[in-house]
Amino acid sequence: MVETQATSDATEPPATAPIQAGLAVAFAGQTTPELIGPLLRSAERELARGFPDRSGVFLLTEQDSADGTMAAARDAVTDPARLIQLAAPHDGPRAPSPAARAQTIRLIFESAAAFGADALAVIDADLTTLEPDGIHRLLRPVVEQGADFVGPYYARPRFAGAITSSIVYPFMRALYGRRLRFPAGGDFACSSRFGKFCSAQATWGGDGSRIATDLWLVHRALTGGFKMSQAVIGLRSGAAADEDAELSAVLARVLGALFIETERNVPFWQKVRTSEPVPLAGTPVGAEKDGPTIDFKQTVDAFRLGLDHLMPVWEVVLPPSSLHELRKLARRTEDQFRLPDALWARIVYDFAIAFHTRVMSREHLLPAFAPLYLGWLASHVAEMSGADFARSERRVEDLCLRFEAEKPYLISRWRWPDRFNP
Amino acid sequence: MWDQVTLALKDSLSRVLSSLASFVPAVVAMLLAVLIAVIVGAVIQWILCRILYGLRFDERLNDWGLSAIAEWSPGRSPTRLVGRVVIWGSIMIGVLVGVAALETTLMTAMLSRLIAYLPNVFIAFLLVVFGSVLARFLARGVLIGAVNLKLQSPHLLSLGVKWLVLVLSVAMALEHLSIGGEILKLAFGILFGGIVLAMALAVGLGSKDVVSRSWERQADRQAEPADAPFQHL
Repeated sequence: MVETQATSDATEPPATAPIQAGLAVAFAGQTTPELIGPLLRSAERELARGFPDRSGVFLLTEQDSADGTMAAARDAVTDPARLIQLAAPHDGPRAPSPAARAQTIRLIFESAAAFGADALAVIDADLTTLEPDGIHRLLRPVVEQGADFVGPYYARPRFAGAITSSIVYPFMRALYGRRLRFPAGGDFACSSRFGKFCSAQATWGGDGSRIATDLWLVHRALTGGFKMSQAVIGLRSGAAADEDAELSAVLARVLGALFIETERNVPFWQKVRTSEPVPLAGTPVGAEKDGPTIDFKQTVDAFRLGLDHLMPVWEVVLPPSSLHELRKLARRTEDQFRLPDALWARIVYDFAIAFHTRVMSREHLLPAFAPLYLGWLASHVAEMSGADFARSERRVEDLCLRFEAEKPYLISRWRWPDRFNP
Repeated sequence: MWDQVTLALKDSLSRVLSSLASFVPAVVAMLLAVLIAVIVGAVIQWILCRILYGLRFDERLNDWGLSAIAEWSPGRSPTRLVGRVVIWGSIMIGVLVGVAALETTLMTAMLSRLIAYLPNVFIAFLLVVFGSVLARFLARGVLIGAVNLKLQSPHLLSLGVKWLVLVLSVAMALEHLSIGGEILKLAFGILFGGIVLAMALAVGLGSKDVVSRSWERQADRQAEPADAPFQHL
C-alpha cells in the first residue's frame, strides 16, 4: 500500500513517521511507468548492496494517477510500505508546477527528517539517466565521509550545458573558491544536518523555479561551511519544463539567481582568493552520443544583430575597452572568431556589477546578455569543433582560471563602480 | 474767451501731468520689481545649481533611468534646466508684481485665472514626464525582445513604440491644458488610425509571401519529427 505523506491541500509532513530509515532517496519531478520501475528497482538494489546495515525509504513526488506510474512504482519495490508518495505543490488541476520546486525540495527535506534519515539523495527522475551505481556514489560521501552536500557530475553531449560551462561554473568557482563542476545540477545528496539547516531558513531564494532553487541550495552549502563532495552519476539528458523557455528567459533566470546570491554573500566571496578542488567519486566521461549541433552562422548572426542594435544598452554596462573588443570580434571570420577568456570574464562581472548598481531595470539588463552569450557560444564551437571530452574540459578549466585571475577586477568595480573604469 | 481757453488748457495740462506723475512711479515700481526678481532669481539659480552639481543630480537622474530629461535640457544638463526654470519663474513673478502696481483690477483677474490654470499645467507636465519615461522603458524592452527573437528591424519597432507612447502622452497633456480642443482629438485619431492602417497594409501586402512561406514551414515542421533542442543549461 502506498502511503501518502501529504496531500495537495496540506503539504506539511507529519511530525512523526510510522517507520524509521537511515537513508532516503527522493525522486522529484514527473516520471512515467516505464521509467519509474527500473529506477526504483535499481535504487533498492544499490541501497541493499552499498549500505547493507541501513534501511532505506523512497520518497516519490505525486504522479499523474491516470497513467499507472504509482502502480508501477508499487510493483517495483519489495516493501511498498517504504514507498512514500509526497504531494507536489500544484498550480493547475494535474501537473505539478515547475515553479514549485522550492516547496517540493523543502517537503522532501522535512519528510526525510521525519523518517530519521541521516542521508538523502534527490534525483530528477525525468531528466537524469543514472549510471548503475549513481545513487550509491551520491550517498556514499555522506554516509562514509561525512559530507554534507554531494553535487552531481554529469556526462553531457559535446557543447550541451554551455551556460553552466561558460557562466555558472567559472563564476561560482571564482567567487566561492570551490570547484563544483555542475553547481546547478538538479540531482544531489545531502546530510540531515544540511537538510535541517535549509528547512530552518525562513525564505528560499529566487522565484521558486528549478534553476533558482538548485542554485540557492548550492549557495547555502558553499557559504554555510558545509563539507562538499561530488559524484559521477550518469547522463543529464533533458531540459526541465521551466528551462524549456526562450534562451534569453533561461539566461535571465540563471543570471538573476546567481547575481542575487552574489549580492547576498559579498563578505564571503570578497575574502576568497583561490579555488580548491571538491572530492569526486567516479571517473568523469563524456556522453557517448553527440547532442544537437549548433549552427555557427546563425549564432554569430544573432551576436552581430545584438551588437548592431543593443549598443545603447551595453554602453551603460560595459566599459569602452570591452565594447571595442566586441566590435573587432564581430568583423572576424569563422576561423578567427575567438572571444578572449579575459574579455568574457569581465563581461560577466560587468553584468553582475550592473545588476548590483541597478544601472537599468533588471528586466532589461539580463535579457540583453543573450547575444553576448551567443557570441561566446559561437567562439567556443568554432574553437572546439573536433575536440574530445578531455580537451573540452581542459578548455573549461582554462576559462575558470581566467575568471579567477580577473576576480580583482570584479572586487574593484564592486567597491568603486564609478571610479574604476579602465 | 481767451481766458477760458487758457484755463481749459491749464486744466488739461494739469490733469495730464498729474496722471503722468501718478503713472511714472508705477512704471518705476514695475521696472524695480522685475530687476529685483532677476537678481533674486539669479542668486537662487546659482545656489540651487551649486547644490545640484554637488549632489551629482545629472548622473543620478541618468542612473534612475530618467535620461530622457537630459535630452530636452540646455547643454544636456537637467541641473541647468532647473536653473532656467527658477530664473524664468522669478522673472514672471516680478512682471506680475510690476503689472499689479500699474492696474490692480486687471492684475486680480489675471492672477485668479492663472492660479486656476496652474494645476492643469502641473498635471500636463507630469503626464509628459511620465510618458517620456514610459516610452523609453517600453522602447528598450521592445528593442531587447526583438533582438532576442532575431527580428531584422528591431530599432524600427522600438522607435515606433517610443513615438506612439510619446505622442499619446503629449496629446493627453494638451487635452488637459485645453489646447487644441476637438481639432487635436481629430488629428490624433487620424494620425493613430493612419499609422495602424499603414502598418497593416505594409505587413499585409509587403510580407504576404513571407507569411505564407512561414506557414508552410510551420506545417512541414509539424509533419516531421522535431529535432531535440540544444541544451544550453
